[in-house]
Amino acid sequence: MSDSEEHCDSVCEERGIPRHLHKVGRAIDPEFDSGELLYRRHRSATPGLADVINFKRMSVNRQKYCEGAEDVLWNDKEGGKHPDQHVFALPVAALSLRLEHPDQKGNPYSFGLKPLHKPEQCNYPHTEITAYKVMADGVEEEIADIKPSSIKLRMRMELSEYLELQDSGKS
Amino acid sequence: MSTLKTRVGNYRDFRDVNSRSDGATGADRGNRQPLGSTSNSLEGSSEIPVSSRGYLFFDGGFEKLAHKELLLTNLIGHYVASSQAACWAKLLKRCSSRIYVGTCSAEVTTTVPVSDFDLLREKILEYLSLSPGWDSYDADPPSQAAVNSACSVVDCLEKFGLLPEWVVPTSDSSVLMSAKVRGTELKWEFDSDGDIAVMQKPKFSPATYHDLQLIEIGSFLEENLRQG
Repeated sequence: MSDSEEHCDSVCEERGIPRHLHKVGRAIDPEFDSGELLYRRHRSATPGLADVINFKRMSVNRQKYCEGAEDVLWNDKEGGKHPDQHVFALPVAALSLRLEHPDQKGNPYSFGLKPLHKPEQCNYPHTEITAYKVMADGVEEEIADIKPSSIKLRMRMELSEYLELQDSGKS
Repeated sequence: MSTLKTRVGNYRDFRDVNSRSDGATGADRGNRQPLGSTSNSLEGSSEIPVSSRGYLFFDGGFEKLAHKELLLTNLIGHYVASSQAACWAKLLKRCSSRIYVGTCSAEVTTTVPVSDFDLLREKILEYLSLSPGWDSYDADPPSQAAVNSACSVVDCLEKFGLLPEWVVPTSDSSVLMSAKVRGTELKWEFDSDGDIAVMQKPKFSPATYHDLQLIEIGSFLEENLRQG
């Protein structure tokens, strides 16, 4: 069996999704190189870009298993491509950002982000960026939202500095 | 001066036809109302003056009404500056969408000028009608609390004549907005629970971040204006 046939999922094939994106038994790859890029599609190239970021398990595609940034435009659930979208890249290194904040008792804790490889049937590169909180004793806890809002806004603004537009126009 | 007569019964018919599938109308969606809305003109027949256009009956609801954009521009132009009249005409077009129709007929019978701030509030209110997955991933629309906070801060900014540069919804169900106070850049986030955060970035200084209560916004803006 050829490599191409090995990586072929008939459902994804029907949806027109390229074979290199089919999961077909490939395992999770938890290792991320700091230089790897994470691609996310977004409806607009302006303004500000801070709205590209979200903190509720933000979906992205990891560069390592994409043939190009435009792979993130494929609609892996319904087939075809998402129309009228731009693609932005965020380097994994940007996720090393840590923001400290004291709790109500004055104890410091910090917020951070991590990439987690979450392959999907027709989108093997799919990755989620999760937010977590590190308590004073070093214990990490995944969180659904970052509070206070000023910390979230700061993280949003600082991360947006690393975003780079990958395309010159809409798909 | 002649008058323009409206038949209020058609307002109700139109609202019913255009209700969302869950039965809610624009007016049901929270304590914010689309701009220029009044409630007293919704009951009984009402008339508004018009220079030379005679009578216009709202038989077909706003869908037909929107086709009469030119007529309406002339009509409303009788009261307000032409640029504002154009805004009204655009607004009437948007009224044919299902969300804000509940109060639009009232707007036709008022003479409240529409400002850029009104249009901005209208734009923010429209975020409530974004469909789930509007960002091509799985985002919900901005929450009612986020929209209310954003509109309240626009109200505050309006008092100081500070028109925001842009406003956008986020995939976190919050709203982002940017405004400049003299040389200072202010970026606001209205969180899904209604919390308000702002980045304050003076021209030659690093950014600082603050959590603000609604009651503190006025003094925060005054301070920025003083420093600017």
